[in-house]
Amino acid sequence: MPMSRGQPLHDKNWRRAQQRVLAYLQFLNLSSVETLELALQALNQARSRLEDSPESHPITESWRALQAILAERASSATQDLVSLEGKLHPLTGIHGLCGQIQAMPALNRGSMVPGKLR
Amino acid sequence: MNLTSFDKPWEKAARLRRLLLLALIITTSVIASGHMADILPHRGATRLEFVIVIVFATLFAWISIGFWEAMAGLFTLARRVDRFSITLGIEGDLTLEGTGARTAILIPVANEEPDRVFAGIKATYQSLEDTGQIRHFDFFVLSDSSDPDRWVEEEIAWAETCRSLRAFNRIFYRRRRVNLKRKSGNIADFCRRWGKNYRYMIVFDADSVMAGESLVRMVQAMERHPKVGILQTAPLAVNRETLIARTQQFANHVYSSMFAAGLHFIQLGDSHFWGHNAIIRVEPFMQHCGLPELPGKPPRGGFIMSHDFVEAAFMRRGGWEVWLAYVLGGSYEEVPPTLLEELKRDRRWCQGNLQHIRIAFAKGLLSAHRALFLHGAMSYGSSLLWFVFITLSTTAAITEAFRTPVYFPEGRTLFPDWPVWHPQWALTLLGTTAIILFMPKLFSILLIMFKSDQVRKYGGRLKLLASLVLEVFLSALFAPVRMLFHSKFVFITLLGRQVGWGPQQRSDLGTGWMEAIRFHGMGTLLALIWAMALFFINRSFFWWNAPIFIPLLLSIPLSVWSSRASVGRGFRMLGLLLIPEETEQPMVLKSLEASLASEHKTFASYPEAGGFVKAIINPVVNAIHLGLLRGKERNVTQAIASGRAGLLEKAMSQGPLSLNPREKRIILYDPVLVEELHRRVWETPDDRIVSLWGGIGRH
Repeated sequence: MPMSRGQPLHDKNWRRAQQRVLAYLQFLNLSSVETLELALQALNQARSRLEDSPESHPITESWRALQAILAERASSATQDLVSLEGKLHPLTGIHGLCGQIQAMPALNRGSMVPGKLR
Repeated sequence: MNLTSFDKPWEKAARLRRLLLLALIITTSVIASGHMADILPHRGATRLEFVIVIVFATLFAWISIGFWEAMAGLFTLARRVDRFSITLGIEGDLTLEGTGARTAILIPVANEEPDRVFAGIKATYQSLEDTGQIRHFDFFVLSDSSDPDRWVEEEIAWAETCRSLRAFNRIFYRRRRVNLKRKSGNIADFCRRWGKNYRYMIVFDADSVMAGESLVRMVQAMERHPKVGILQTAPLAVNRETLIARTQQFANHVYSSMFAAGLHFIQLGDSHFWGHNAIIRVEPFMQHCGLPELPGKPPRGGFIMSHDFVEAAFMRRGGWEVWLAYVLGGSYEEVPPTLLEELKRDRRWCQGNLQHIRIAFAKGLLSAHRALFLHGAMSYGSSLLWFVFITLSTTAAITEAFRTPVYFPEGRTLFPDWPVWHPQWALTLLGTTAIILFMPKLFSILLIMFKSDQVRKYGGRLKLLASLVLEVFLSALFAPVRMLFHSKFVFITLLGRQVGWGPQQRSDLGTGWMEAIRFHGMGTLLALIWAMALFFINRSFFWWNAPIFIPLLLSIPLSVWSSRASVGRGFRMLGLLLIPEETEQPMVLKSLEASLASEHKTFASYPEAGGFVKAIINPVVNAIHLGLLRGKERNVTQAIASGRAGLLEKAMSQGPLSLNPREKRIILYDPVLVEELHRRVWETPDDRIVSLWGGIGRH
């Protein structure tokens, strides 16, 4: 992949962008292969985007590209929060959690009035 | 339903037993007070001596309550048959099939250590799963945590626990925005929201752990006795390693079964609720146990601080019974790890218990519960009385030393008035007091001695006896220190000063020397002045009081030394102060230990950061937090919106360290801010901002 193409300043920024994307993916506990694959995809997309809007920065564009890829994968994959192995599915999990997480059951209101003391 | 007639067998028995207890207490106290008057120089004839005798009588009555309760417990346990035991008849199959009873296990927390709280939940959950009855139970973590870092850590721990147990929709988490009425308000809030879904609720403390079998048995007991509103277990203290905590654990294990049996003997269906490790019938609780605010300002007025006793009294007032399941095992709690932590807790309890004096005289309550309120107040009031007793007797001793004896007082008299001191009588009285205090301990040990399987779990007969001696010695050392602090707490509360209600330190971190000096310095100084005064003015009285002032003089090293886990572990290695749970760890406690030791926490990566930073940086934590905020978006005014925008800019430009807890809470409450901050921190090319947020790009 021709990532080293461009000015030296750009090279440094692209390295930082790569580090940022990898750092983000590290939090998701993906396999190494999957992490690298996603990082590569995000950086490539960022490069194309940057050509359209050169005032932007590789770090900003890479992270945005990564978000778009993750969102796309999440919507197409299963929405199960927990896999059979008991692991939170890394890609569906992160977005699915926002939509599906159920911290409390539905309300079933009753009354509890303070007693009296005379 | 109204309780006006006493037609149940237990009620008749309870009345007779309480009358007997009262008679025994009065008789022993009158006899002992008579002896006390006899050993005083003027046989109680002076005003000062008269007050001393009255205070002594009250204190003696107080300790004799414990003694006679223990004797009742000994009688119950020795007989091995208790027709009123609430757990009789639930020894059958461990199943709740066909009952239709759903039970919520409530874990109210406020700034507690999330790892410990959720490890306890996990252990209890797994234990319940092993019984095959988990489908009849739900867990609710009810958080009142105000610390923003703890708040997010709780969310992480909740998600971790649900994930690892596959217990989403079985373990629930709710955090209150407004912590009205603290724990009691938190539970009342649960009742109003979801109480109708459950027939029972089992209330835990943050450090409670219960075996699944015990939980199922509690539900079975409630099903078997439909008039029982609250069923309290007698929790056993476990898991601590510091010396003072291991001493408390040992005492709790050895003596509590006898005292609990004694309490049950006297109280029967008018028992205590201790606020945790108890099962409650939800419907009558909602109907009768809403707590009012007391007129006036805190600490005497305001909301009721120690809610549990009041809830038990209200439950009884509503016609429901409150029982103590004193033979049911598998119920555990943890004691404070240090003397200072224990005293901090006592300060809150003292304030709450003294507030009960007002409630004790309210209309409509049963006399048994009025007695419990006064008993609770005396738990701390007795310390002040002891302090007063020592002060008065010291005053009398000093006065006597300076006074010229008047052998022939005014008026006609056949004989001279000799101020006589009878040391042998004093020794007899001291011996009687010692019997009242220590005999129950000896009987408790004997009860264990007769059970060979039990003796083994305490390290054998010899080590059990040595542990008893050690426990008595350490208790005697700590007693004057506790007395001094409790007196201060009572005094401060009576003056109307309020105390904070912070979280308890529940881990075995020791007490530092400076902290100990700060807490015990004044007490040490007071004891030094007192001891010196007695030494120079009344030498014989000095020696009589040595067991009180020596511990006070040693309180600083005692507090530090007893707070060390290494010292506690040393005694454990010697086989001293052992408890059965240390020799043969039950499965639920093994599970707790394993869970605490486990370092595999998927969402908790980025461990060096606090909860707030994790919620902003860690995408999974961010998603969990946003997920839990779902539905809480609120329309805000322009002014609030612009304030929040300013906060966002501050967080971005100055980093998380520039934010105070209130500002962090504002951000965490606003899903838009949380999402926006997450995005902006991750996509910024500015290295300075990245480093402010922990250098995320360098991972």
